[in-house]
Amino acid sequence: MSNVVTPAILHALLKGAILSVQLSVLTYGLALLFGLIAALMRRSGNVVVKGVARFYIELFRGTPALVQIFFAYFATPQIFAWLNRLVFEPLSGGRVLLPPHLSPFAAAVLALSLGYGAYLSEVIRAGIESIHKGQAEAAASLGLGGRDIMRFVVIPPAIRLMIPPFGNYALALLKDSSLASTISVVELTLSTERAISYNYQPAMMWAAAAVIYLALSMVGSFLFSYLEVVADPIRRRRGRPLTRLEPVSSGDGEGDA
Amino acid sequence: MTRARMKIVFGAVLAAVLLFGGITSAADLATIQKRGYMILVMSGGYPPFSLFNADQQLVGYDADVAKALAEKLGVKARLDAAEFSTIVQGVQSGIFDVAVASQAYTPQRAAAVAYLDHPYHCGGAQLFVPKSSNVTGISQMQQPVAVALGTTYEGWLTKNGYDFKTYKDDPTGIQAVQSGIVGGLVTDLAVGSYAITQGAPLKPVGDLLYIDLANVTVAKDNTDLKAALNKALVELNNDGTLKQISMKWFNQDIVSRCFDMPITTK
Repeated sequence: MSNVVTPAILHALLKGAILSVQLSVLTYGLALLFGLIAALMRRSGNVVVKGVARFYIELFRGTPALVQIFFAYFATPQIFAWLNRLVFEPLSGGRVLLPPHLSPFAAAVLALSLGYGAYLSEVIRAGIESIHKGQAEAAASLGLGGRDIMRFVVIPPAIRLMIPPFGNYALALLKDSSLASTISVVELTLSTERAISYNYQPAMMWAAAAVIYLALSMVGSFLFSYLEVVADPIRRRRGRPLTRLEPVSSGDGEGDA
Repeated sequence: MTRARMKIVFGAVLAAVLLFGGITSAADLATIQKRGYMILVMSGGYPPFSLFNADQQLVGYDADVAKALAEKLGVKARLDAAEFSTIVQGVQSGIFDVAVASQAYTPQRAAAVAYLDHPYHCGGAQLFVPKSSNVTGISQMQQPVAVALGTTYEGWLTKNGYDFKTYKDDPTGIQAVQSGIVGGLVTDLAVGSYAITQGAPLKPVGDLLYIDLANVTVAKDNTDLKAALNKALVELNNDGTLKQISMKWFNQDIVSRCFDMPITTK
């Protein structure tokens, strides 16, 4: 039982946790970008642009993340070889070629960010569309142009509505990042599995992994709660973002007198 | 779904299959030599054939053989781990150049990847049960047994009508035995014995279920690479390297007695 919790095992878990965070943060950033692009495309007047966005969203919302990850890892080499032969080789004379395959990390980031981008685009679209048409009409009647209406009237309250679902998806993504273990990304789940293959302590090690995921998601949860406050001009102005109720006596709300 | 839509979907699936079906993306010998390293894959979850040491380096019998093969070909070895059940598709699609992953011969695998002419070690399938168990053979099992997904052990259990549950590798299967989900584990004798020395609360029971030979595989049409590896493997056997690696990990020779057997030997 001397090898139950060695420094090497703790180190492996820590490294796994760091990789899980890196994978999740990088993926979430890209997902926001894909989501924003898809949401804007869906609001476009052009039928083709709208159709492409719709196809992307349906494709990635309608297929399991695990299938997407396997596809990104195991199917892209053939697709890349095909594209190289038919497109890149003839056009560049062999100088610019796609890589023979993606690294496990890159494949996981690609698959998960496209998948979560599809979800986030719907959050963005729903947020924008949930602002009553009357608000934009009122702004227009006061003489604001289209861009200013978006910037000053629609986007600020829309963002406030988007933050809670953004937070939900961020936490879901942190947990889905464990799917990358199936293509040998040594994130927290896989490093836990490997540790168990030494110390034969499944109950303890899986509990430890769960606690680490929980701690990470609580950090994420607090971060998004904070963003909710920041995005809310009334709560933000109190200067004490995380406190909702303040004593009535403290006059200007600057804090304790 | 309307009929027209279904046609579109089926058309898209068919087009995808036709487009990507016939394309090979595996690197041939010249490409490997040019890039200076060879990517060799193993499961990483099959100790002591392949496992991760405390520094998260792939080590084991498979890892040492992989390095020796690369050295014979005059290139560096880059060792990669992948879940055993995904190794064949990884070799097919060229993500890995060579699998040194203790793969036994099956006609289905032989249709997907190419085997070298000689096995590189042999062992046998063995039932392991918890130390406290009274079972003395697989026919007495009241509960299903654990087995690694996509292995020939799984095929054997299916063919012989035993109840089993699949796990992605043996360490995961051992977890299932420990938690009582399954009554035992079927794997290679050497693998189970090694796990016991490392603290797994198991014991082998009954005779070997059958003997199997483990092989190196490459992509189907990679004939140059296959020929080079065949030559290298024979050299490694003749100069005693394989035996030496075997002694290092098992304290016994698990190569010589079967090296010249046909790879389809059961």
